[in-house]
Amino acid sequence: MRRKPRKLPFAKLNHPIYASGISGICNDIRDSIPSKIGGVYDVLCQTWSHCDDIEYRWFDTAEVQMLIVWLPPLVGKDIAQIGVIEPLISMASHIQSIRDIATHVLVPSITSVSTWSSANQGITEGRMLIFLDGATEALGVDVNDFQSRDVSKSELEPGVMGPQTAFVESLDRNIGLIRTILKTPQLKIENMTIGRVSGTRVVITYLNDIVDCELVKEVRHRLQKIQMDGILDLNMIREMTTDAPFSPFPTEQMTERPDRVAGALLQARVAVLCDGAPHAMLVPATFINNIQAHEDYYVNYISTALVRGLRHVMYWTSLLLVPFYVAVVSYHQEMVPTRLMITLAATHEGIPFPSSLEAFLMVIIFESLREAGIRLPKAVGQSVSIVGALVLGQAAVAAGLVSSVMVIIVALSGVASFTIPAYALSYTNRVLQFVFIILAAVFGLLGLTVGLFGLLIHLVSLRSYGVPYMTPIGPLEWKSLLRDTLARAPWWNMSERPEMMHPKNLVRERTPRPGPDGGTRR
Amino acid sequence: MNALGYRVAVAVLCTICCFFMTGCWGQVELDKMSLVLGMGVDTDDTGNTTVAVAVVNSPLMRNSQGGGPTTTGPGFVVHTSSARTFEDAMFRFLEKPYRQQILSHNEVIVFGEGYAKKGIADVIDYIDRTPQMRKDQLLFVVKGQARELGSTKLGVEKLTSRALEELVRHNNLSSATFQSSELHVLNLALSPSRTFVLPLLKVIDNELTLGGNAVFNENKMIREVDMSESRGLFWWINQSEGAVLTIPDESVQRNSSIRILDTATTVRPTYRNGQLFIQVTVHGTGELHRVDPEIVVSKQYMKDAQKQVSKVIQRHMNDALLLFQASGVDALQIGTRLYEQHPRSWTAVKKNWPYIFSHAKAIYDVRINVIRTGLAHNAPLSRHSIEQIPGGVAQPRRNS
Repeated sequence: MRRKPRKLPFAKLNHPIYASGISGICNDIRDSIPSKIGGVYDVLCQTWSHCDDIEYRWFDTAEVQMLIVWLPPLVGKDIAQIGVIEPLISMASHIQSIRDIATHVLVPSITSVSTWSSANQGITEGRMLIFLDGATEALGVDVNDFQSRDVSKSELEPGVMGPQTAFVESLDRNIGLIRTILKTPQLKIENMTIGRVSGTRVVITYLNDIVDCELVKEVRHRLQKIQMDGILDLNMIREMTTDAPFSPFPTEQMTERPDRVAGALLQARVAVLCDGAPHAMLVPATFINNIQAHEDYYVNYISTALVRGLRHVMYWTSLLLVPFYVAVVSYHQEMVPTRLMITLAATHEGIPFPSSLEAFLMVIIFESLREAGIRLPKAVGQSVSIVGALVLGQAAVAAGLVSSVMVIIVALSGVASFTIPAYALSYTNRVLQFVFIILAAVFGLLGLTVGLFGLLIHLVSLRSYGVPYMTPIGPLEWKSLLRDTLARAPWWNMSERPEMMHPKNLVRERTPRPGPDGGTRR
Repeated sequence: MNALGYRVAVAVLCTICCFFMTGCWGQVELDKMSLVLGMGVDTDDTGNTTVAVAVVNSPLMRNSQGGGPTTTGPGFVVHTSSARTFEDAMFRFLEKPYRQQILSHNEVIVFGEGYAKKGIADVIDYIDRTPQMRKDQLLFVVKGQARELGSTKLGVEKLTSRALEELVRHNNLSSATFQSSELHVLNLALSPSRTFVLPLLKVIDNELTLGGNAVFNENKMIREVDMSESRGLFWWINQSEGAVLTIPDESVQRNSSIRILDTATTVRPTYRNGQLFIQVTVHGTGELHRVDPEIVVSKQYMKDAQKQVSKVIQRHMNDALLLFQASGVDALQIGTRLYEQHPRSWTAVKKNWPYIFSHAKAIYDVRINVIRTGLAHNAPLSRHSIEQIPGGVAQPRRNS
């Protein structure tokens, strides 16, 4: 396999190998930049033919001949003018080598480019490439000023308490957001480029003094295996690196909150970010991780216990309530209290569909409304929700197409699904709900029980980067279970990081238990 | 076959196996079933058994908005079937154009007096062998025909079964009727005494009323006892909590009452020298429930009240014993106690039990401690005089 050429930072210009000649680091002679500036121009014209957005600028003086190439849509005009063009014009007579150019350019980020592939990538990343006649290398000056979306509030993971910022599509800005939280050189950022055509920048980030080295190695290894023409979103990377490609359950945690990423890194986990994706992928991720919300850590731990418990109940409610109702009213009427049974029988009178089909139809309608609400613009989406929920529901009941109890059950199940913090897990529930409805409709509670056991077997068989998916419930880890699973221990009691992540440094903090005497050492 | 194929094959096989398991084919849609809530069993002139089942009238109970029950009329319809035996009659419902009956929600079974006198063994046998029927359904006897209950006034309730349940519930609270759930009755029917008691309903002016209790022996109704006669029976079978006893006060020629808070009746029968002796101990606590305004509650009054109430209880118990001894029916469950405590004695006397029971002698030890005066230790009229108002003397009213 051909090794991908690396971009060298400017500091490496002083390296002896570099000083002896740029060809020393080129493996493929066809990829190397010719020394004649005319040849350079020919290659560029050929490579970037029919690209009308590219611009060439010649500096042809008596002392020196230079060619500057860039893509104007990605480049900031002011910084290009002040930082690159003006210094070069004024100092043209003093330029003898590439190093001289680097000295005079007034832009902080400069990269040496020695191959065509890195040169082309530099151009696409918004760099100005400066070629000097007689040099077999070029200089990539970062004048990228492509305007991305401003950092704004999180939309997928909103919360009342705690930080509100969310990632944007710019990778550098996202890294910056993490850096502002974790101000340490131990926060490592490893760059990779994935996608033959897209050349997408992907970043692995972790805290070096905490994370398990084997985990980082594994993440790196899985990312390196990706052979894809274009990476458009982090989910593509997720699907190509996941532990269980046939499972509907997400074995990675996706988040758009930098504070959540920082929290995960402090738990000895690894984050993967990618250019163009306003999310980060956290690995390993357990089932419990996907049920936890960021706000659990920002509100009183006593309230958290209650809310987390409620969320667990709601998770299973969203999955099993409709199937359970179908099973009970179709097969197990004796289980229902008599008064409730009379009401159910009365409300179902005259409905032309069996309960199972009625449930199926209602869930499909609910999912359609949800999908429509997401796809449509906000203003219209709200109207659709109102029309769907109030008008359609009421009309369907009045017309005798569905029973009012079924509307309540499906709505309750839908509301319960909104309490699941992980969007991916919520999607999984929507799919599995249909499976369980079929099982309940055909086999009653027996089918539901068998299906539930099958689901549990599947869940305990999953792994995420070596960590069992149902940890700390199965395998049982008492400390993690008590401290940060169903409930959350107070911060002064969370002295250790989760053992399941095998951190290098298990101790998280040594804060004394607070109290009126100023706190006592535990 | 690779691993994945093997797993898929196992999954498919398991799924197919599920189809052959029990319980998979019992699907009944809500709108294709009749919820049976009550059952009446009668016998007609030809000796046939007539079964009337009250089923929920779902179409009538659905309101115009598609919601739950809102109808103002009775929420049930009565289906009837007649055959030689109870089981045949139940089977014959299938020959009629009714929806499938769901018996699991049946709450009451009412026996007509005539059927009860012939014996209810058929019904007990049927319901005990029908697994979907609940064991907590209530059994009643009604004076006259059970199927006539469908046309009685029910107060605010829409279903007869609900009305009956409510009737039993609040009468149970004051120990005015017996616990008559199927499981309890079945246990008594199979006990050595073979006797049980069911509440007896009467329809007076087209209104349901609790009219006493029906005593059964060997699954046949032997006699009925009115409410006052039933009181002693409650004491014998230890079901008297919540009862309110009136105690006569000869000094003021008026009555006060005591509420029984808890009691424990211990019956120890012993058989010696051809004679059955019954040692009965009733210990319990009570409180003053209502006091006549003329009576001043004092320590002495409380002691007297205790003695009085103990006497009243003993009298009730003795009356009940004499009543059932005269009938030769061991409704007091003495035989069961003898079997539990002295099985050898029971073996010796069981063949001649009615005679031995009729000649039994009882020794009573009744002690009820009146532990508190309750909220009515003094009547409002006797509590304060104008002189007792703070200040000692009534203040003259000022003219404004």
